[in-house]
Amino acid sequence: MIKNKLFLLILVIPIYLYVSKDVKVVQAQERIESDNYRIIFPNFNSGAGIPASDNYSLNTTLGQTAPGLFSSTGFRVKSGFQYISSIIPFSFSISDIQKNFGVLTPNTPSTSTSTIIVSAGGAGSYSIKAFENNPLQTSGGADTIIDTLCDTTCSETTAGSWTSSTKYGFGFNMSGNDVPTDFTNSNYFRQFSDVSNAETPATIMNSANVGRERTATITYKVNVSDVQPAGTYQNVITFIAVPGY
Amino acid sequence: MIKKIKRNIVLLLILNIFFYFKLTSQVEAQNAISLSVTPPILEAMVMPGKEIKQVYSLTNSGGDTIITPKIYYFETSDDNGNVSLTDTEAPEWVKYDKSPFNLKFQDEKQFTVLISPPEDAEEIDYFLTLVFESTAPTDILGQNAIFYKTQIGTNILLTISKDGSPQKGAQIVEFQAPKIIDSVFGEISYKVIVRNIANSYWKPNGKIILEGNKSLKLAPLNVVSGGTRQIRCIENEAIVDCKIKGNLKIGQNKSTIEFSIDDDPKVYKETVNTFVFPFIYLFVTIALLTIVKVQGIFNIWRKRK
Repeated sequence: MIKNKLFLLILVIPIYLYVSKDVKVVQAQERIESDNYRIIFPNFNSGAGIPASDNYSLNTTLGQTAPGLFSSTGFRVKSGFQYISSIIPFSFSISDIQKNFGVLTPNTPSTSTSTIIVSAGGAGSYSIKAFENNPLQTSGGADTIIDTLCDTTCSETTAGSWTSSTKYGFGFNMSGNDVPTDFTNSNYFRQFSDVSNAETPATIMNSANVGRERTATITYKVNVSDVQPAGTYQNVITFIAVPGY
Repeated sequence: MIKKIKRNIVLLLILNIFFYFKLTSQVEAQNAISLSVTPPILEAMVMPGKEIKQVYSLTNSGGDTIITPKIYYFETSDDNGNVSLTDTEAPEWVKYDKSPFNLKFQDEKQFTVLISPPEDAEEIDYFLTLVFESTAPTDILGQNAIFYKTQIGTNILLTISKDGSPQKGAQIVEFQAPKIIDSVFGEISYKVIVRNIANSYWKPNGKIILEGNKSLKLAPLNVVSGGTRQIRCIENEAIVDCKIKGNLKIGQNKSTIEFSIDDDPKVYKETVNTFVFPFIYLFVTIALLTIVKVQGIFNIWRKRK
């Protein structure tokens, strides 16, 4: 009997801890209000029905469509894409917060990958752009690993083949959904746009249709020569994820 | 009794495995950056002197991070509705808390933007993007490394207007369909590019009609002032290519695009023609005739021999 109770306790406690951690109070996701005006009953241009419950917020695409409303209220507002009935969040994920290359061995390229996932439920378009704050460099910028020029040539907007172990620098390859077509295969690399050199962020993923969980892999490659000064080389890569309008 | 103990052990084992994988995935998530923002777009028209407040929801499914909010102007970067952020910040009457805030794993932040144009605000469109920027992690290992920062944005299309009827105008830049196609395997795919020639953004409301066949509904995509946009079609809330396949009549097929913009009654119209011909049947007939002819020649040659 005691054994049974003990077993039940062991069974129930982890389930309770797990469930209680995930249960959150559902809060209003969208709200439109003004100190002077309030939309009491906005028009919902959806035939799908509006979710309603004591604890459930309205997350339906909403807008005012009635003519003449503007003159009485002084504003007209539409939230979300008006041609779909739900507001689906725009999401961006990358599988890491940093990538370590460890000790770099001359003439032996070091590679590392991260996974990017973009989601917005089929509304509008999207683009992901990326840039570096500067090329890989030691603290204070005394020494630099140059941005790759690939085997012959490549830039922040055009990929080139990079297979030679005697071509040095830092670059990246993209594969997966919605990536630029110049990444012909896994040997094609680009430089990152260098904002310290006044270069504008370049698009690394984009689509006229967002879809769900568009996934791409970004592969970094670093190759240094025998004469590269010893030191710790670092930089910051910024990804800009913006839905279309 | 032994059977019962065995069953309990198996159950506990399953539970432990479940929680192990659950915790592992949570640890992985905390070593990632994962942000989502809603609503993904705000379209607003405001009278000078009035104000609106929009509350955004930002959720962090990745590791703890510090978020810095900013609102910048954007520029169009292509015909597909993508944007390029500028360095210019929104006018001071677009108010929000610019202080960085901490956003922990699985936290949700309600973020308020107040738009209150003054009485003398210029009656134009403002194309803005609210950007939430995460901070790069602190280096603790001192290795050769790259660090990630992300900026996730949500667009604001804002029109300042005193009467709610800003000037709107459209131009059809391109309405294309193939000139000639096969009646069996061919399809009529349309390319539509329109330009906004006035000073306020709008959406097209209309369709492409293939005479005597069917019509396609144009997607109500925003076209910003001074910009061009490729318009695609909409089907069951999904944006799709505008194309018609099957049941095409042989001969001339007339396709007409007609749309109005927002509440403006003016209808924009253009027509293209596609000639549909049964090329496949012609090809098969020619092939059969050729075979018969060759066969005849072969027979004559054999008889002579």
